[in-house]
Amino acid sequence: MTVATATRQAKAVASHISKWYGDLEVLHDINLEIYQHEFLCLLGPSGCGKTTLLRILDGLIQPDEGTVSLDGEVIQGPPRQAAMVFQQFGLFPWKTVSQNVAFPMVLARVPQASIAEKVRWAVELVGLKGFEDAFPDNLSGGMRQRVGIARALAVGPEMLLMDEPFASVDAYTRELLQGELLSIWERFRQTVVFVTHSIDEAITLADRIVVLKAKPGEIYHVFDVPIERPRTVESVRKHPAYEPLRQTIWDDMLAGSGRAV
Amino acid sequence: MDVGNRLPDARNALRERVKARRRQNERRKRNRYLLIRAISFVVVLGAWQIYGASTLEIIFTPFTTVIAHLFELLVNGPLGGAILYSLSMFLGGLVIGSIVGIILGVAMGRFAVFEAALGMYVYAIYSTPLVALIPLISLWFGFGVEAQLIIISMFVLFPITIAVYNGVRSVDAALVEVARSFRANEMAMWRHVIIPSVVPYIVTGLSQGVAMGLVGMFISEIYTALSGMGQILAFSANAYKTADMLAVLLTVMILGVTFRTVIEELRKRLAPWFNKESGR
Ligand SMILES: Nc1ncnc2c1ncn2[C@@H]1O[C@H](COP(=O)(O)OP(=O)(O)OP(=O)(O)O)[C@@H](O)[C@H]1O
Ligand SMILES: [Mg+2]
Repeated sequence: MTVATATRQAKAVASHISKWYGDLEVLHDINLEIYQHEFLCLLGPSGCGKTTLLRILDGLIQPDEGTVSLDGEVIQGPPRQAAMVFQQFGLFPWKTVSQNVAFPMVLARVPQASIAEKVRWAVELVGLKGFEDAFPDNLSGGMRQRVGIARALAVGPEMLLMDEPFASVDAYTRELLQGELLSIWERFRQTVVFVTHSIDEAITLADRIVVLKAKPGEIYHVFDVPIERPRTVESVRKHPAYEPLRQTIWDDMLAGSGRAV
Repeated sequence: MDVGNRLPDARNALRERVKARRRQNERRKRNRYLLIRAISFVVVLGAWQIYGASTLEIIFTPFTTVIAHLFELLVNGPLGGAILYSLSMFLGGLVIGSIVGIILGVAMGRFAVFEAALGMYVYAIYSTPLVALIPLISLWFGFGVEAQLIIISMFVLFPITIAVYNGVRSVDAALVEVARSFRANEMAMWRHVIIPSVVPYIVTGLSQGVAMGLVGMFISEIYTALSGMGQILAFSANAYKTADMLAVLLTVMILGVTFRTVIEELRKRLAPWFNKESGR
């Protein structure tokens, strides 16, 4: 790769984040540096607060304690540098594929001609050429999430926040999309925070894996993924580091849950 | 990331054949549908004709007689003017009721203040049979155009208010969050999220409003000053002119169907994403 190996400069910093919902402490004292151009996975069991943390990183909700800063500035609301890909796709049923992809740029008052060009680029990038005028209801789950990804990529975000984007598509499509995301990311190297509860998915995609434990949601351990890029889904599976890392993280999550499952 | 847009020729040919077969199937289905309709139409009209010819004139009259009376009423009688009068009352009431209804529904749905302040009255009046309010309205507004417009718009108002209110309340919170995430301000939120989600509800409300409005139109014409089509209906009923009565009913039926068709067309234009394939 031509990109300099991580300079380890922080893109986003979450410090002392705590969040309560009523009597329930959902997140407890989260401290996390997200480095420029890294692919970071948040891995944790269902209900441990992954979505909550991601929404806090996107400025959609305020933590009860602590701050998030992006490029050195504390965020107050959704920052312009970040774009989110949603678990349930979050597509507008009354907008066509093109209009959905264009939406963030329309909001940002990007000139019309430039929007059209970027929409064409993003739609082609995610393999949806020919479906520009389709409505989301007429697309499969995999295609819908491609639209979600195209929408996030088209604005040219510096940071991508992805909340279990492939959780609701079938296993085959999921691997396909993982491979496509790998090749896209290896071209553009945005800073990515990717939420998942699949160990395999985390190892396949990430440079670094942050394991969370539940009740309250806390950072348990952080793992580096020593698998070189470019990667493919198969090359990761066949890598000698894959199985041992998988086992280590599995044991770690089990220990974090405090019980034998 | 290519899902395979450049298919080989053989695949293309197959796709064309599949498409052609599908079109043919659809055409066949539609033809059969139209045929059944035509048969049903002939059978019902035939039964009407035969029964009408075989019974007393004041009970029922043959279809052809009704049509003849319809033309007579239109050309030499008062029906043309009555239709114009009734329709303009109806449209006036529809416009007033819709505008007030949409504003009320949006305000109550989006802003808690309005719901707290007005919700209970809306539900209370909605739960009261509107016909029971007519004597009061006549007492306050007399028996003229004003009272008629008020009655019709009241009939139109409530279904629309309720539908729009439900529409605003059921705006998907997840989509509101998506828009917020991409930094939408309140105006963009209305334009891109709230209004589009409410449009199908408005159209549904309008469709119910039209049906209720036609009820209101007849009631207002019969219970205030006798006028319009309601007057012809009442006079011909009193005089046992059954054929005239049926002619008026036929006219209203045609008007109602026309309005419904127009609104259905409106829904297709305004909410094309709402066209779901039926399960049949
Ligand atoms: N708006 C809310 N009000 C009350 N409780 C909430 C709210 N949002 C989340 N929670 C609770 O906070 C906890 C964490 O939720 P969150 O959605 O962040 O978990 P998650 O790790 O994303 O789970 P999953 O893997 O199932 O998506 C859950 O117990 C959930 O019930
Ligand atoms: Mg979640």
